[in-house]
Amino acid sequence: MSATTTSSLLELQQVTKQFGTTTVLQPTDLQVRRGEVVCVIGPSGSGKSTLLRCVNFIAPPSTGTIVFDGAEYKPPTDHRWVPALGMSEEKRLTRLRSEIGMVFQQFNVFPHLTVRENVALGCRKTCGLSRAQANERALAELTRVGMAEKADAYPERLSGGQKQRVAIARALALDPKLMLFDEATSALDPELVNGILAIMRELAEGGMTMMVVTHEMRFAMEVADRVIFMDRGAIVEEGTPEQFKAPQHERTQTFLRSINHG
Amino acid sequence: MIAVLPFAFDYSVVSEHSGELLRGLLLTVEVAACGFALAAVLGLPLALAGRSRTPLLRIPATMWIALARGVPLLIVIFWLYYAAAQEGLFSLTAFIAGMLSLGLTGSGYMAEIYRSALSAVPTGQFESAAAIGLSRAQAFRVVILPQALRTAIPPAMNTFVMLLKGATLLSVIGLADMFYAAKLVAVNEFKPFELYTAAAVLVIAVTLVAAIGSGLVERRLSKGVRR
Amino acid sequence: MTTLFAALDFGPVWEMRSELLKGIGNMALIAVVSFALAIVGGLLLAGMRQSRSRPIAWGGFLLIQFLRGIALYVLLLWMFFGLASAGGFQFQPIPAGILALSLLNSAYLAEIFRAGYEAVPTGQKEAAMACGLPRRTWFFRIHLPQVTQITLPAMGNVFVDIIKDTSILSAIGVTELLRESQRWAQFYQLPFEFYTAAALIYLAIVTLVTFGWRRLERRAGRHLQTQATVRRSRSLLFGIGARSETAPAP
Repeated sequence: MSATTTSSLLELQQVTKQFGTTTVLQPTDLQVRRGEVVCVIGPSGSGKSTLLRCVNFIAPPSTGTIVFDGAEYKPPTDHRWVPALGMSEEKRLTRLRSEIGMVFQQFNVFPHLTVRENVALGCRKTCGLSRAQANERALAELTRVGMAEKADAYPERLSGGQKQRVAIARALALDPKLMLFDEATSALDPELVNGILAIMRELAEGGMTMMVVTHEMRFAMEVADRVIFMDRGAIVEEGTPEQFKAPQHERTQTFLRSINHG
Repeated sequence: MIAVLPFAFDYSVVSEHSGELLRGLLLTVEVAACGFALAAVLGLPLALAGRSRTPLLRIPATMWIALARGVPLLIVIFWLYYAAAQEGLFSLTAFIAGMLSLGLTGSGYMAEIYRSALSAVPTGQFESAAAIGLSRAQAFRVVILPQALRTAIPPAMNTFVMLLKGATLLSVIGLADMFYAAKLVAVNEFKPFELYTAAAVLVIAVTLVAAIGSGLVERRLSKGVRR
Repeated sequence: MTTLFAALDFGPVWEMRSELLKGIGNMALIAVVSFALAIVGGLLLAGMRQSRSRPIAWGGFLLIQFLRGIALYVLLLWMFFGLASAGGFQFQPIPAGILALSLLNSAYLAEIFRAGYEAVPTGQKEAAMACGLPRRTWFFRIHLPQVTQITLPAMGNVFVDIIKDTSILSAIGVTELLRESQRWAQFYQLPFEFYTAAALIYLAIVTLVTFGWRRLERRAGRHLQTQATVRRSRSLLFGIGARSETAPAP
């Protein structure tokens, strides 16, 4: 089963996700190589976000196996009657998550912490840095996304684009092996989109492994090593950006046509 | 808990006097209902006056609401029943004094509920009502008020539960409610534990039903609004 | 009208000021201790309801519903007279009052905490998880501060309710403000003066507490430009015009 090649950082084997009786993710296999940028496209409700959330177990998969960096992760047991039994499993997943950075559509910065604290908190709690070291690290990451001068502001006073920069810095501060972007630019005003895309492009060029859910087709075509089209909870088609210029599947064609004209 | 009791619970005292207790309970519910009706009627003009641009209306309404919400119910009861009578202002029966104090206290809470319900109606509703040619008064009566009342129902039911609990206080001014009956019988028969427990269980049953009912209504209504 | 006011005699009220003050002191003590205990109880109950273990969650739910249905006066009489006569269980008035107040209000606080708990956007938890923060850190550093900020206004209402409800403890002989007023009202045969004075004192205390609480809320929300929390009761006396208050810059 686990014919994990050394170049493969992430591998999904027959991963599914159900919420109650509705299936949001059909059995899915996927491999992501180190340094690869995978863009996931598809209509809303097609399971793209769920796919990302399964990878870092924010929404644990219902069945299947995820292999990350050589370690296997299975769906956690539901210890609904005696939650204490789940502790060691939970710890392992927490460590997994600290190796995967994630950026959200709604930014999800912590409103009651300053920009610096937003970035530093993760470093202190998961990498075991001291407060001073964490602050230093935070400032370095903030400089990288151009937010250093706002380090002591509260997120409430920032624009959407600025909040998203903070969120990216927060994810990068943990020195992740994989970055997940869940429609990182969808909630932004049009004039702020390009700034965020530029940061993502820079990351990709620096060799970061990335999974990007996006509606920005131009970005996907230029930056992705591989594009995945999802519909109704399943991967319908995958290939290079070049191949996506002439998609095979009818559903892919319809989708691409609709966003090019919309 | 049972182990603490040195003697068995004597149901016979309770069943013998169940008629008095139930009559008392009915009186409690009655006075609470009357008080709530008064509060609901007083609350709306208070809320409107509180929103008014004229200080002549706004300031008295604000003070009324502050008084109603800031002074404990028990003091209002004493004030209306003993203090006013002593000054020869007016003399009230226990029932009327109870109803008035519940109504006055409740009016402050109801005014708050109406106010927030009114401000929860989107301003676009007023604008679109004006756009189809309704006058301000018409728009208020036909468009705004029905929507506001809908949001006001769950918190209003909470206020009713609050007043119902408050009504249990009225035995202190001699309203012949259940506790009054329980007290009398308890003293006569030396069985306070049985009687107070019975009275407590009855009141709790009524308030629980009201509380759970308000919870259900709240859930039902909030669903209706969202979808 | 003039005869009415001529007849009023507030002299004895002033003479008895030290007695009334003692009553206020007792009231403050009872209110603060009960509120603190109710917060602890409320957290426990809310924790039970939120528990991932089903039986505990159900127990919490039932307990909250039950406590919400009980009138303070009923509970007091039952505890103080009923239990006492059943033997071996005589409460002192003040502990009985504190116990009853904190029990009943812990149920209200539990509901408030739960609503606040659910009002924090789920994205906050997702983000904390994605940052690899342990559950504990998420709870204490991310979740709790935001819950506190959302629930503070409603908690203030509960505190005010507790202060007002201490008056009911007079029924079991706690010498708080109302009990003192009652005593001297009967002694001097001046119920109007003493009850009016008591009403005004309560009003003043409630107003002061409301004011102080607003400051606390503003401090807790200092990271926000505008206070966006929902207030159940905004206008106690002075809050009327304040639709959205602007917090001072941090």
